[in-house]
Amino acid sequence: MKGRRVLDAVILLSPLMAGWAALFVGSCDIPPLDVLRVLAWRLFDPGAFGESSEWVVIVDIRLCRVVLAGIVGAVLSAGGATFQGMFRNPLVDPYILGISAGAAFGCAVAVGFMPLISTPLLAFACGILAVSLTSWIARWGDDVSPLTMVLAGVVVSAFFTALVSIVKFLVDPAKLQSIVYWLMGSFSLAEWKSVGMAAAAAVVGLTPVYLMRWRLNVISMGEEEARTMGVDVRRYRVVFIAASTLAVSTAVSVSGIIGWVGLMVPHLVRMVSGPDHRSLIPLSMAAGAAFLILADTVARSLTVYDLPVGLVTAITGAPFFVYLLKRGGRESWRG
Amino acid sequence: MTTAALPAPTPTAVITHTDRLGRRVEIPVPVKRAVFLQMYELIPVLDVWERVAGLGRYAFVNDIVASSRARRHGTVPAVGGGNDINVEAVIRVRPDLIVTWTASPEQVRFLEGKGLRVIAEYPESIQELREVMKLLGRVFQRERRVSRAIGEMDLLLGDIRARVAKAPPSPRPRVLWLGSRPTTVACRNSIGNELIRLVGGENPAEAIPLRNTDIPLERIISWNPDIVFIWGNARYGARHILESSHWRTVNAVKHGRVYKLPEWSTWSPRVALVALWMAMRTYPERFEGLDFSSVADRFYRLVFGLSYKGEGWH
Amino acid sequence: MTGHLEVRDLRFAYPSSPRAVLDGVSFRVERGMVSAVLGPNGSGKTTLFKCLTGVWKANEGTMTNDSDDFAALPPAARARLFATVPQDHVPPFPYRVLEVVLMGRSPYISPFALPSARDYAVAEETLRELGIDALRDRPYTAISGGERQLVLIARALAQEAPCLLLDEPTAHLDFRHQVGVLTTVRSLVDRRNLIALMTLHDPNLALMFSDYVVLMDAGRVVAQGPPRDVITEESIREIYRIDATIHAFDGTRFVCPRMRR
Repeated sequence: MKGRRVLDAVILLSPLMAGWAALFVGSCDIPPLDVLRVLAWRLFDPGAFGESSEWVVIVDIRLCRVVLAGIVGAVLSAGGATFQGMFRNPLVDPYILGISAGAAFGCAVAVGFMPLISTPLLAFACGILAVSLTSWIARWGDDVSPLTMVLAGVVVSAFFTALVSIVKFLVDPAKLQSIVYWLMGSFSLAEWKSVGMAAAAAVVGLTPVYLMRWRLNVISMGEEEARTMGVDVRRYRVVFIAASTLAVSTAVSVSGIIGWVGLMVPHLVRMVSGPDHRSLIPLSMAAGAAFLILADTVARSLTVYDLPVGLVTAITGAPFFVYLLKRGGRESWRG
Repeated sequence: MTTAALPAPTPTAVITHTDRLGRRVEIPVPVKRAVFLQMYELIPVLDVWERVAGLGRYAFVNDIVASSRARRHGTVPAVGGGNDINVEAVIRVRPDLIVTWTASPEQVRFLEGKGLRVIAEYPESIQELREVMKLLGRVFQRERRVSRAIGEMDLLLGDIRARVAKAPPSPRPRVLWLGSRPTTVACRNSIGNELIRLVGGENPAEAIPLRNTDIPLERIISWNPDIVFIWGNARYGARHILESSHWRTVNAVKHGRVYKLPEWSTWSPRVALVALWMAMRTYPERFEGLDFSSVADRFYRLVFGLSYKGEGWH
Repeated sequence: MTGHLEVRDLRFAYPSSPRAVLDGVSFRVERGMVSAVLGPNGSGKTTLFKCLTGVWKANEGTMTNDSDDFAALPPAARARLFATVPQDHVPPFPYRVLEVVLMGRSPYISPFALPSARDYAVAEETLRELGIDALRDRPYTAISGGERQLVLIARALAQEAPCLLLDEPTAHLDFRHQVGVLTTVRSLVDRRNLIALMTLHDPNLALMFSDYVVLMDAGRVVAQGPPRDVITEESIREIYRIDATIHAFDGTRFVCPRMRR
């Protein structure tokens, strides 16, 4: 038990450690002492607006990316854990109800046809639209079971993906590159403005999830069983889905579609720390933040190019699943 | 299955050309019916409107093509463009030659399989542009017009070089060419890089052996360019860079030397005007007294047969 | 304090089908007795349970607990009255046994709160009472079927509800565990003075372990009363369409199907 506690504490602190390390790494070679100097200056003089390029790199680029990656990682992981509990399936990610396909469509339309509309805004709106469409379709059936919702999500995702393909086809090839890049997910243009929006959405969206996280244990036993224990799953489902969708849509709108984080991180945390959502939710948030901070650091420093972070997460995703298959996964999900 | 797409020409000669995809194409000269999916700005240069049987989609929004077509009567069919070619429309107009780019080799092979003659090019330098122009000159038997156009280009470029050479040999300004995203820069194998060198600048991204790629923003900051040119078709403008908090310590931003290029293709003699425009901002003191509009107007008349109305700006 | 559970004239049909699954079910069971609902497949036992727990809404009829109609209660209030022990199943995640039992405390934990020290104490106490506190930290998915059933009973007890509903508690269990679980139910009802209602397939188990039997067939209650009065050779033949002999031996009765040799 005590070993578990220590491990949990390490996981909770990991984003801070990863973030700290990330500030010292980058394609611009800045000596560690200078990094510390700039950070100290920033800390003790919050109003300072440094004019050296080192300041810009450390504060406005690296620190900004680290914070944004941390927020997005936390949101995606918490969203993934929530959906996995709600749909009683550990192979579900936060995009299952159509957010990513909707947001991709919003981005494609904005980049391709509407230069005056901000891409994040349209991506966010279309992400929400897609989930609303999924909920509406799911209600056509007699009972809204997790299976119905997932199927509706698949349908809506396929629909929006097809629309994205149409847009890509119609759009002139130079803009196509922008769309493709956005779809891969990247923090290369992270600004403090986006950080503010993402943080606000994370707080608004994840607070209800965090507070009600213990209920997810009961909900994951199934709708009928939960009802016999006094939990009306339908009501909770609406709140969980709405809150997660808000947070995840905002994350996607500021960073593009970063896959695998919402699927892998809760899974790994479950394997290490158990499926009790009381600990799973906060630990997933922390581990997700740390993971994405590390992935982004790799993306921007491994090569001369600025790799989209979605590539890095995807490359780590495949071996992860091979490992899971080998292991049998008996401990992390029912056979 | 070959279709009856090839008309029976009465060629005076056949030119064998190896295009950018490495395909050997035998072109009977002169070409009487051509489809231009790319490089359509060369049509007024060659003065072959009456031989144009079809145009790619993007030609219809090109300013030079629009002005030059305005004097023509009759319509020219659209045959798709970019990455999608409407093959039926192409076949229906029975072209002797299709001029396109290398972005979709499968389509090129497909058209070839239907018995059509295609050349696919992608000039990555001004010299390569000259080669393509000369080829088309031979193919349409308009060598004289082409050599005059090339002559005007070279005149202008030579003038730029001469003026720039007179600048003091102090460190050359660092110049960046940004593409569709603020972090996409033109690297060694791009025409942007060549233009930067031509106008006397130094491209910090030259060491990268690609056409263009995305660079981490902090590397761009550390390069600290003195001048930034933004590709004319990018979604963002100079203001985005000038007002960005990330770019604020960069020299170019501190001195306001961030410019968005005109929406002009570099696959046309007009690239010389782009060079002039860039040079005037890189070494303004060497181009004092030069009136861009009148130079441009003269160039337009001699090369395209049009007058310069200041199009392409935004 | 409640003394009995009464159902009067309960009717239920699926919205899409005209056939009534429950066609006027009426019965009454008392506190401190183990009551069994017996009947063949399709008699409506499971539907009855779903109506009692509020998973499905009955079309007509009343359900009262000491003359208080509980049909309109919201889920949390209902869960403080009825605790269900479902058939054995495996959840999607390997919760620890204690975490599973803790779930039974849901009706007493507000949506934004976490289980309190008292909730933990109740959960641990029920594990001890059933003699399975050694399983406390084992993953629920790694214990045997019989042990899982006991854990589900513990979870139901943690709900601190006066009525215990057990849905086929002996399905999927081997003989030893069938006897073990039913013995446990028996002693719980005696000790805690609960109302216990369980569905059973096997008339012999009903004879051995229950004090009251409600016999159902085709959506109706055919008979109710003490087991020896309800489970007779006639009723077995009528309901199960089997010729059987009831043997009485040493104070116990059991049903033997007549075998043709």
